[in-house]
Amino acid sequence: MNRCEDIAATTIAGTAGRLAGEGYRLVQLTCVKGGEGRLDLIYSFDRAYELTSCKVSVAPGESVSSITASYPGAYLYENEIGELFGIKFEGLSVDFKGTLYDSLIHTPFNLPPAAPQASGEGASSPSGAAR
Amino acid sequence: MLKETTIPFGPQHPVLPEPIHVDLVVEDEKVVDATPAIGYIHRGLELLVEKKEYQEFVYVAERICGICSFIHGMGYCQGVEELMSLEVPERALYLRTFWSELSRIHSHLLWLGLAADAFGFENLFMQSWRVRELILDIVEETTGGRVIFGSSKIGGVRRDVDADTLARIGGVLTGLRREIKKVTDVFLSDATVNTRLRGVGVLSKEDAYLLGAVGPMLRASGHEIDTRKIGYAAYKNVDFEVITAGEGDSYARCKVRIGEIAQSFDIIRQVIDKIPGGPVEIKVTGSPPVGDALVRLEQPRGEVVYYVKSNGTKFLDRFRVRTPTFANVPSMVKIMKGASVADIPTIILTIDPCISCNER
Repeated sequence: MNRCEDIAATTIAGTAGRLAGEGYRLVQLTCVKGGEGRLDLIYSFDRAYELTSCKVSVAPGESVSSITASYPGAYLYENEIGELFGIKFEGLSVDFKGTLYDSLIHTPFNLPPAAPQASGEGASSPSGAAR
Repeated sequence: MLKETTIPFGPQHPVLPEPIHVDLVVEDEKVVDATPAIGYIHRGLELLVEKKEYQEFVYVAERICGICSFIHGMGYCQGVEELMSLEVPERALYLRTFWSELSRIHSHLLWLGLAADAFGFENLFMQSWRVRELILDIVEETTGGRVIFGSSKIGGVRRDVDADTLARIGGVLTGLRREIKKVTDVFLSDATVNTRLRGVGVLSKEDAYLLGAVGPMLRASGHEIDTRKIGYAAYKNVDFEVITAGEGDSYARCKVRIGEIAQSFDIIRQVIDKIPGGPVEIKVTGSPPVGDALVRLEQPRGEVVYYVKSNGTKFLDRFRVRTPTFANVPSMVKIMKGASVADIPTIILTIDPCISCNER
């Protein structure tokens, strides 16, 4: 992917603030599984049809600063990623608290490894605890 | 003044064929806050990419939506083509542009009909959909169906359209354009339409940018941004100006879409005049290499983003689509605040929501 810069999770809010100040608009926010059980957040911004992206690597359970202070519309992306992947965003301006999709499966895009199949009666249920 | 009351709007509502829910906090008849809830029909199609081979997945991508099905398939193909560094034949790029613009025309006509229905102008609704049928006839003739499925493929397109057919369609479109103009002129000049749309749901230029609005929603607030200007498919070879309006209200969004219908006719005319000969596809074998790609296209509802990530096998690691409706929800919520309850259906409709796209 063109122009994707790796940045630390602690700097994303500052980076978003700088880009907003320079006239970039938020194009999208995507979460994808990275290496070693980590998750990668890819933020993309556009100015005059030039796309610039940055990637933040997050460990499971780690929190990331919300960018809603700079891009108020980002709350929908952050709520979606929170529900599908389990990442927590600090300072989220609108927090749906897990009701955006209300999925029966907890973090369906980032399921924990399946437990070993028990033999005989009482075999384990599929991974992903149903609410 | 009454105390605040919360009114649940949707998920089933007479003006919306698809389910979306909004909790409207109202004081008297005025909306003071709105909280959307989506996910009623979320299908998890993005996750399905882990279980379908990358060539097969084109059929899944196309089924994200029944209106812009072709552009969804094309966007996914473009992402994989970028991953695999494939050079798509020029003729295929022109055909992609041809079907994309037909999709835009029939999508905007669909919206005009729904809008007319929402504000109670049933005859205008009927006329909008009558002329839309004539566009769908061309879609059916050139792709085999009223909904464009199975025409996109990685490395080109699956169907060609011969020169005689294209020339005849060019002639048909000239007559159709006049026919459609009679309908769209009513939207722009009729007193009823003006009363229901002017000054309703105003999105400021600054808010449109900060909230990440896209498509006619963004352009109606004065931003000259249209992803087709990036030059994907054959857009780099056709001349067109970005259609904008400055008012930011529901009427401006209607006006931009009507301008884009006329513009799509111009683009199709150029495509028919300029389309080169040659093959429409290349053979694609093997698996995409490890890597990722992000592509952007302009759907009728606005900029759409496709992200694909490959692990080097026939099964991709990730497919992500950020649909225009998803990007426009924060703006929709913003303009609901301060509006009258009676205007809420019109406001929701003027973002042209596609819940099917949103619930990918």
